[in-house]
Amino acid sequence: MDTMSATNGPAELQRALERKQARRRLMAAAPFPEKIAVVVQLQARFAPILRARGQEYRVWRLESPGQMKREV
Amino acid sequence: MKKALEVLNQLERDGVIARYAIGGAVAAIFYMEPFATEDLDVFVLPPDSSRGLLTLAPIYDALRALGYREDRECMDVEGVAVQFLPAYNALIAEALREAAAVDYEGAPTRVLRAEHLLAIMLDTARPKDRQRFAAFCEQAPLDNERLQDILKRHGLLERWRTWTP
Repeated sequence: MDTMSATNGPAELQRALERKQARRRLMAAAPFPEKIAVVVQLQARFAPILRARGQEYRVWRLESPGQMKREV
Repeated sequence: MKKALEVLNQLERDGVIARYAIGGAVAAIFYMEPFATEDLDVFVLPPDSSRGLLTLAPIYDALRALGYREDRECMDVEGVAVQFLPAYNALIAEALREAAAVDYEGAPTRVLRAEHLLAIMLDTARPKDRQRFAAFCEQAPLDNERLQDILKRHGLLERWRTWTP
């Protein structure tokens, strides 16, 4: 694994930030239904953690593109 | 999602709501990278709003009659937790009037415009609005002239200056 040296650290950090920004721009430009699918994936990831803490958390379930069902 | 939007469109055709548009987190996600949210916030103009009434009861009654059920503060509509919010101030009423028409996999719908969403974040000013604000400014396609006009008319310029570096 590469480590950042004192000299190339800022440049590597800059490149990493640029890559992150590029990914965000890509995600921001994605079609709305694809973004909604990502939201549901995030809900599914968070739900077990939050439920383990005693919090209610809703998860939608995509049965097919554009159709969601609530997780029971 | 498509089916839920079709139900909202049916409510509008039936006159249960005069007009609706997607707001909140899901509207923000329309313009920026997705993040986790539980609810689909839907701003509505009830038909009786011209008489000063902003009750959501007819919407809930109509959805119950269609077989949908409440889930905490939301209605479970075709698997989507929909939270109905009346257009409770002039900014939101304007945002609802000027919402952008959007097609969701063949289902027509409306999403609040990015400039109005930003103004609502500034107006509401909850911690999560502040948290979302910077990313939204960076990613959403904002018409600065339109934004400044909205902020000026709704008295939000000072907060805009405070929140922007």
